Amino acid sequence: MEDAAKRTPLYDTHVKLGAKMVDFAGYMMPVWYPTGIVKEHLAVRNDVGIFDLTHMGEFFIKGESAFDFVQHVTCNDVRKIGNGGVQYTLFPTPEGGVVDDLLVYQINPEYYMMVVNASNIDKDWEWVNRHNDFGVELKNSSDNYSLIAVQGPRCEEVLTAAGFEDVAYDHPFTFRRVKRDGKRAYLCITGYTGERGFELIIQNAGAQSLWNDLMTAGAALGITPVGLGARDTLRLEAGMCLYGHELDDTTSVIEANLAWTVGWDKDFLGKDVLVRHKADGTDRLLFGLTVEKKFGSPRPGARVFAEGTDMGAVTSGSYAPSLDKNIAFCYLRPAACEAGRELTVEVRKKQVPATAVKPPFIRHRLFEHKY
Amino acid sequence: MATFWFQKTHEYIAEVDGEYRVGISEFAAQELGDITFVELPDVGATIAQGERFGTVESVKAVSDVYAPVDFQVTAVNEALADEPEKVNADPQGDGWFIKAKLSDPSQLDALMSEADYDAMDKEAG
Repeated sequence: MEDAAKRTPLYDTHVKLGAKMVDFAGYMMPVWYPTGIVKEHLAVRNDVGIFDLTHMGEFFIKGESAFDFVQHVTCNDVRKIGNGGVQYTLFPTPEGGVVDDLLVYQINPEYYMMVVNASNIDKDWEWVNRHNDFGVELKNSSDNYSLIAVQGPRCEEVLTAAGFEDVAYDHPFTFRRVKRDGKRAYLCITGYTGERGFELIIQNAGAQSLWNDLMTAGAALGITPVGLGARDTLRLEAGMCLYGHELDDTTSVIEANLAWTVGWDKDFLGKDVLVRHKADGTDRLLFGLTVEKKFGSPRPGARVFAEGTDMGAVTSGSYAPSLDKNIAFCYLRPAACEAGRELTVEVRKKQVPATAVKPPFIRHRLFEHKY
Repeated sequence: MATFWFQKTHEYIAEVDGEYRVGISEFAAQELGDITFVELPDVGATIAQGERFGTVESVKAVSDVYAPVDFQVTAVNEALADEPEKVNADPQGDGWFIKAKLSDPSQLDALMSEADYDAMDKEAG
């Protein structure tokens, strides 16, 4: 059992830092360091944090029809991104569910990278292969690449101090290919925190020295290693979906309030049902709620009521360190999705007061140039 | 000086200046991570050995706490309502949960001493 989980190239580094390691989607990953989730979370909001996200999967798509293939399997319109662009998108199913959410990177129209969730690597790989009627070359490089994220207001300073040239947080959702100590790397202006940040995808052999360089460069800037626990509270405050909670094979892209990711002017797998969901509406929508600190945190599955009527259930819930109260994502009947509406939610078998909120719970700072 | 007794589920009873306090061990506090909420019983409540008497919530986990012996609650640590982080900072000191009157102090004999608890293989549990 113990050895079944994979170790990232940074496993020993995490152990030395005193991290609590857990098996997450088949990878031994740090869930928190001795710093603790709250301080790790606040470090990303106020200064800068560094994450090992090597468990994420990387697929490469190559061939004359690569553009057509990506257009077919994902719902967002790849025409929008251009070379060097990154796009948030999903693999919808013809039944109206979601196989996974992912980022697509256009190297050129004949060459793409996809970064998918660790928990879905095998399922996604099967899915893209099953739908490859385009003769493209598919490569699962998940075991060959490491992913290190540097997130927070001081991210540019860290990368610059670590020797990266011309680092500017200028165009979120772009990337460039670089060499780092002779290793292929992708320097991406992306993240999952709501803060300015970078993600570095690098061949495994370069991961350790890159981590060390970033830690050394960031020491004077307050760089803090951040585990998956704070990654979850950061993304939840930022109102970002997590597959297995807000998304799964029964949730529609429209229900998840992700209509903005749909390219309505193109054809893709599962489009019919999304067109129908958009025209007819759905029985539930993804929304948010807050609960005062003293009542404790609603957890996934907790029922949500409005004037005594069951309106839906919580999908993710946590104490939110930046807000010092509890927040949750929930699927609710559309009638209940009204910001400011008084609700109740079950917390440890008791109904406690809650307030409906339209996510995100914090203001994103991705597009702010300076603050 | 305090004397501690522990049970396998990581709750302790401490005798401090003739009073008994109940809380969770250093190990448990560390395992839970940043504690954000502690739910405690009412003063006067009578709790039987093995019964749930509260809940500890951290950012990532929720955990019930169970009575190591029969007791009646004589005080609760009111400070934890506003500062649940005290449990992380000093679980076996300022981070105590409740003060208790034991119905049968001889029940303590069946619990682990501090030395036995320290030696226990906690990861396996």
